Amino acid sequence: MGDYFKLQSLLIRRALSETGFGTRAGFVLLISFFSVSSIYLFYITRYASFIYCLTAVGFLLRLSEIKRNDFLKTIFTRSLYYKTRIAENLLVVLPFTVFLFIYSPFSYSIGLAIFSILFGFVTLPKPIKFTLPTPFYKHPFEFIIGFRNTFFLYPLLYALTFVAVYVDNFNLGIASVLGVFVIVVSFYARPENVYYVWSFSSTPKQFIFTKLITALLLVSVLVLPPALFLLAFNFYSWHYLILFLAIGYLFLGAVIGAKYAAYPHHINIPQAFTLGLCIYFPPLLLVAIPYFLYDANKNLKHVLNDIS
Amino acid sequence: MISVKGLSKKFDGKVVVKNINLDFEPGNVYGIVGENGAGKTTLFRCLAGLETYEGIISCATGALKNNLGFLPADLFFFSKITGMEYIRLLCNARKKNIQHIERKNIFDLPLGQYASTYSTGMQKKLALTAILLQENDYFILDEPFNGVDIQSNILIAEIILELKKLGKTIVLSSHIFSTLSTTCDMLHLIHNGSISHSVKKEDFNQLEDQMKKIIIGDKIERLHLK
Repeated sequence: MGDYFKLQSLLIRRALSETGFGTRAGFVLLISFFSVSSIYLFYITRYASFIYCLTAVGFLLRLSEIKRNDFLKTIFTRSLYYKTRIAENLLVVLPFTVFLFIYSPFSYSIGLAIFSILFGFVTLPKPIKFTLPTPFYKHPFEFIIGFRNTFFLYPLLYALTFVAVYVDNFNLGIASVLGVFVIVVSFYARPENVYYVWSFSSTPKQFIFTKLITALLLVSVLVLPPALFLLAFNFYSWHYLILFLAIGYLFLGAVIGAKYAAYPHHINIPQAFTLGLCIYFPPLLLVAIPYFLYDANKNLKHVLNDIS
Repeated sequence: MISVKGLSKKFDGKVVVKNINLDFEPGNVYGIVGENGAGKTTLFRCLAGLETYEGIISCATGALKNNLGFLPADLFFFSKITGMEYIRLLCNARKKNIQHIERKNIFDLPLGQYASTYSTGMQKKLALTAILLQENDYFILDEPFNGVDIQSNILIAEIILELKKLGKTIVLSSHIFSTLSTTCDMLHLIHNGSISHSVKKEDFNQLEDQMKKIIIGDKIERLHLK
């Protein structure tokens, strides 16, 4: 068991050194970040203990994943396996119990520690092979995967639009419509494996154009129902709605441009900063979009082997 | 025809592929053989245009990548995309509107399930099905037989022979000599990034004997198996 924890400690040190800060500085930063976030959480909300416990349970769930546990069962005897699981769970919840002890009733920290011990006997079952239907199944992957990851959010946002109309709060309705755009933008947050761009027999211009058109059409499927519902009951404010829809569409276009301008890497800090500025000052989108698209076109020439 | 002249590739100053000169003719199957780390996968990625390189790779029919079905050794699948959606994605990428995909599902894959839940062999069969439906002229298959059940291996070998009949150009790698001897017209041995031997079909047996001698040597004795 000692060797196992030594190995885990080595893995953590490696991960810290890979952050670029070095092992010691990384460790100090990690502890500082955890402490500051914890203090801040307990400062801003009275539900902090509940959120805190849930976060700790989230970590415990990850340790109970079946493949990992099957591996542990193959290398340890039965008793050593359970001892390891319990020790590991206690170590993971230890930082949480410290802050719970300081900021919450005593029962929370003790309860979490007991729960972590009991969880040492739990292994999560294999995920169910259920395929969630999607209206976007005939289209490229962003909406197929994005919809499946976020399907539960649309009823909530649509309900919010309904509430906005019911309480006659137009701004709340606009927030629900923009919420859909925020979700769809997240579909484009991560660069896909290079094989999925390489496969396209298109020029960079055709590729980006297709991506933009597809995104604008498919986001309409999600955003127009609440927008039209809102419009039906707030017709006099149609120009505000059009304005916010236009900002949503343009921002989505800017994010796609930025994504492929940085591809195959993640969107970099200057690009993220520019996108952030666009949120505060949307007219900037009219400059940012052509700039990102120009960069994306140049950047994709290599992956798409466009020699023209 | 694919023509490769003076192809070299370095990673952080280390030469991985060294001055390779090869021609791949239509209607022929070429096997690339070599130890792990010999440079096969890098060679394939250069041919596909997924890596930058020194040298020239030219193709008689224009841009190679737009007519190339590439089966990488390490496949990547999105977490929530079904087999059917994967096939459709790859066909759409080549502007092919394929009808009756279910009928063409010759490996009997559960196309309605997420591809990420497939076994290694099933994922390989899915990726192969997708590039076959793209109707390419050229194929690079990096270890197509690896991890696949014996029934499907027989089918894959037959598919390769059928592609050959159709005049397609196929370049593949495999660690199973029998699969190479059944399908290939020519084998190129890659060693430390260079082509060390090129052997025609009639000399495959001789090559296998030579390889066995070099590879096995006294290694079994050194193990002192008890």
